[in-house]
Amino acid sequence: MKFVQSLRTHFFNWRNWELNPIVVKEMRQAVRSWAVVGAIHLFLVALLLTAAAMLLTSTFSLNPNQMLGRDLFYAFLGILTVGSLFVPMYVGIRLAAERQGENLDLIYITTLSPGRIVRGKMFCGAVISTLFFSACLPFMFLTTFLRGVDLPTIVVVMAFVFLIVNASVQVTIFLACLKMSKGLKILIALPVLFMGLMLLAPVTMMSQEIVNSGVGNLLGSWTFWGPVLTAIFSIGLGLGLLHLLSIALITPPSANRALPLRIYITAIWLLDLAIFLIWIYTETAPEMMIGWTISSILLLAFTMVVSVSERGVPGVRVRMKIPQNILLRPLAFLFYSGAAGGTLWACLLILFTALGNALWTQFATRRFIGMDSQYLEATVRSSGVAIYIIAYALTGLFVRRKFFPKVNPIIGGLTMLLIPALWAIVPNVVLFFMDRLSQLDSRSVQLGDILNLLYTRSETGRFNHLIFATVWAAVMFFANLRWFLKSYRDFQPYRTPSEGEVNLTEEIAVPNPSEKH
Amino acid sequence: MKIKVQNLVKTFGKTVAVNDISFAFDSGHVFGFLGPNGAGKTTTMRIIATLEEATEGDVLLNGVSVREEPELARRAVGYVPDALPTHGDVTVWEYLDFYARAYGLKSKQRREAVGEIMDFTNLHGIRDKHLKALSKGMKQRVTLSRALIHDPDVLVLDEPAAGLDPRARVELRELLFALAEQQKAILISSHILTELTEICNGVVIIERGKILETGTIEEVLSKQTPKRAIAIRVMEKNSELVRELLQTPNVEQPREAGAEVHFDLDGDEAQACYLLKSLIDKGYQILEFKQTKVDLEDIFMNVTKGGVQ
Repeated sequence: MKFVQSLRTHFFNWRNWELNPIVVKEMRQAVRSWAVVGAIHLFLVALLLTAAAMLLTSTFSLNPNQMLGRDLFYAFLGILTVGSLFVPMYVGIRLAAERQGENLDLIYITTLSPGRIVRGKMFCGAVISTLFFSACLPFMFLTTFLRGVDLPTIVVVMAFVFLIVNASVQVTIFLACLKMSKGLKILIALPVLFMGLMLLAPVTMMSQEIVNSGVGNLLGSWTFWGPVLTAIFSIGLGLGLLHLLSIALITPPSANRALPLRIYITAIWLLDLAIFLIWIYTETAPEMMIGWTISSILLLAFTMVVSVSERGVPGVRVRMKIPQNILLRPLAFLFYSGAAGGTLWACLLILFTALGNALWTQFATRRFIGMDSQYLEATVRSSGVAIYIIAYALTGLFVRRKFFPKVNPIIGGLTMLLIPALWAIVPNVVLFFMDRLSQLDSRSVQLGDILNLLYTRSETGRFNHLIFATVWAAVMFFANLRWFLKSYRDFQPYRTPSEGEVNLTEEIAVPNPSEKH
Repeated sequence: MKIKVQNLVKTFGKTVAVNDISFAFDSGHVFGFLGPNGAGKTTTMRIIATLEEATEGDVLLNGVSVREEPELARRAVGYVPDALPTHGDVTVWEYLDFYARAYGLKSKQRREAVGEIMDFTNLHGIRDKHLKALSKGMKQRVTLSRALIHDPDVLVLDEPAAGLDPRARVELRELLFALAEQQKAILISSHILTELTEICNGVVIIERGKILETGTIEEVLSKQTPKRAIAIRVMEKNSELVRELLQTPNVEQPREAGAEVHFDLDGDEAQACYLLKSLIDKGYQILEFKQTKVDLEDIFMNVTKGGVQ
C-alpha cells in the first residue's frame, strides 16, 4: 500500500522529474570526448568508404546484381557490429577508472544511490549506441533501393543488434564494478572481450538467417518466436541478475544488499522452471528438464560462493530491518545479508533442484515410453554435482570459521573453489611424477572430485560418488550446525542500546541537502 | 554537530595505517590534523568521508555511523581530497551543477545553490572555463565549492593549502574562517603549521597511525610547554645577567642567545612580573622583556619522531 502510495506521488509530481545526474554528466563529457567523437567519425568514414567501394565496383556491370542491397547490408551490418563494440568498452573503461582503488571518484560519496549510478551508466551506453545506430540508419535504408533486402528486415536486424550491444554494456558495467586490482580486471576483461568477438559470428549468422528467410515469413511461425522469445527472456533474466549484482557491488557492505539478489534469484529459478515446463509440454520432451537442472545448479553454485564469503554477523543496519514477527523471521534469515542464512538458502535451492529433477525423472520414466538412458545418467550426475557443491561450500565455511575467523570472509569462497580445483589437479600431478598417470582411465573413480563424477563411465562409480558426496555434505553440515543455530539465535531485531551507547534508531539529525537549501 | 572518531583501525594487508585512534570535536571548531607523511591522516579522512571502510572502530557524525549508515553520513560531510580535479571536458559550472544534482538538489534550488557557492568562493569569473585550464588555487576553490554544495555540517580538508601561492593561501584561510563562523566542524590537515596555528582551535597529532597528542591548541601548548620561555635584552653584558639568573629560584637553563638571554620560568605571569621588577631593582637596564611563543611547529617537532610506516 505504501509502495502504491509512493508510486502515485511520484507520477503525480511528473513536473519535478529530473534526468539522472549520471546521464547528464556522462552526456556532457561524451560530446566533448575525443574517444566518442573520433569513434563516430571513424565509423562514418568506414561506412562511406565501404558504400563507395561496393557501389563503384558494381555500377558498370552489364548484368545488374539483384542482391547488391543485401551484400551492402551485410557489409554495413559487419561495420555496425564491430563499431558498436566501442560502446560497452567506453562505458566499462570509464566506470572501472572511476572505481579504481585509491582513485574512487567522488560521485560515490554523494547521496546518489548505487541503483541510479548503474542505471545512469546503462542509459548513457544506450544513448551512445543510439548515436551509432542512427548514424548507420541512412546507409542501411539505402540498401533497400538496391534490391535484396526489405525495410522490416532491416529494422528487425538492427533492433536485434541494438539489444546485443546494450546487453554487452551491462556485462562491462558488471566487470567494472568488481572490486579488484586493475591487472586482474584486465585479465578478466580480455577473455570477455574475446568471447564478445566470438559472439559476432552467431549474431551475424542469425542476422543472415533473418535476411534470407525474410522477416514476414518468420514472424508468423512458433519455430521462430519460441526460441527467440526464450532466448530474449533468458538473456533478459541474466542481464537483470548482472544489473542487481553491479548495484550490490557498489552498495556499502553494511547494507542489506543480499536481499534483492536472493529474491531475484529465487524468482528466476522458478521462472526458468516455468519456461522449461512450457517447452517440455510443447515439444513432449521430458529430458529437457535437465536443462533447467544444470542452469540452476550453475547459478546457485555461483551464489553459494558469494554467500560463503559474506559477513558472518549482520551489522546494525541489517538488524534494524529484521521483522519482529516470529513467523517472518526465518524467511528473513534466509534472504537477508549474512553468511549463515545465505549458505542455507543456496543449499536449500540446490537441494530442491536436484530433488525436483530426480522426482521428475521418476515421474517421466513411468509417464513417457522410451526415455533416453542418457537422461537418467545425467540425473545421477547432476544430483552428485549438486551435493558436491553443498559439501565444498560447507567445508569452505567451516575452514573460514575455524581457522581464519579474523581474515577477510572471502577466504570461505576461495576455499570452496580451491578444494575441487586442488583435488582434481594434485593427484594427477603426483601420478604423473610417479609415472602412473597412464593407468588412470575413464572408469577410475576419484571420490570427492567433481570433475571425475562428470567424466567417469562407471555406473557404480557414479553411485559411489553420490553416496560419498552425501556423507561429506552431511558431516560438514553437522560440523557447522551449532554455528548455524547460534547465527539464527543472534538474528534478532536491533534493540535500543542503554544510555551511553550510540543509538542508531533515534531520529538522526542529518537533514537532506534539498531540505537545507 | 559532533564528530566522534572511536577506536578507528584501518589495515591494508599487514600494514596498520590507522591504529586505534579516537578524538572528538564540536561544530564551529576547526581541528588541525598533523602528522608526517604516511602517518595515516589521509586514510582517516577518507574513512570520515566514507571513501574507505574502517577495519575496526567507527566515526559518528551526530550519532550517525559512517560504517553502518554511510549514505546518511554523506549528507553531513563535505570532503576536499588532496588531489585536484583534472577533467579536461567539464567546465566549472557543469562540475558544480553535477554535484548539486548528485546531492538531490532540484532545478531552482540547484541553480541557487550553485550561484551562492560561486559567490562565496568567487568563481563567477571562471564559470565557463574547463577545470584542466585552471590554476591550482582556482582548482582548490572549485573543489571547496564542490564539497560545500550540499551545505554539509562537517568539512574534511586534506592538505588544501599544498602547492598554493601566498595569495591563494590567504584567500583559503579567509574562506575557512568564514566557514567556521557558519558553525561548520572543520578537520584540516596541512604541513603549513604556522597557518594552522592561526586557523585552528584544536589539534590532533598523529604518527605511524597512532595519536600522539590531541586537544585544544591551549591545552596542547600548556601540556607540551608547562614552563614559560622568556627572552630579555639588556644594555649591559649578558653574561652578568645569566649569572644572576642562575641564582634566581624557578629560573631554568638561562643561556645567551645572540643579543638576548633566554631562559625558562617555572611560574605564572605574576611571577614573571615579579622577576622583571626584581631585575630592575637590582639595577639591570632592561630594553626588552618578552615571553617567547611556542607554536605548533615546535610542538610538532617535539612530539613526532619523523617515522613513516
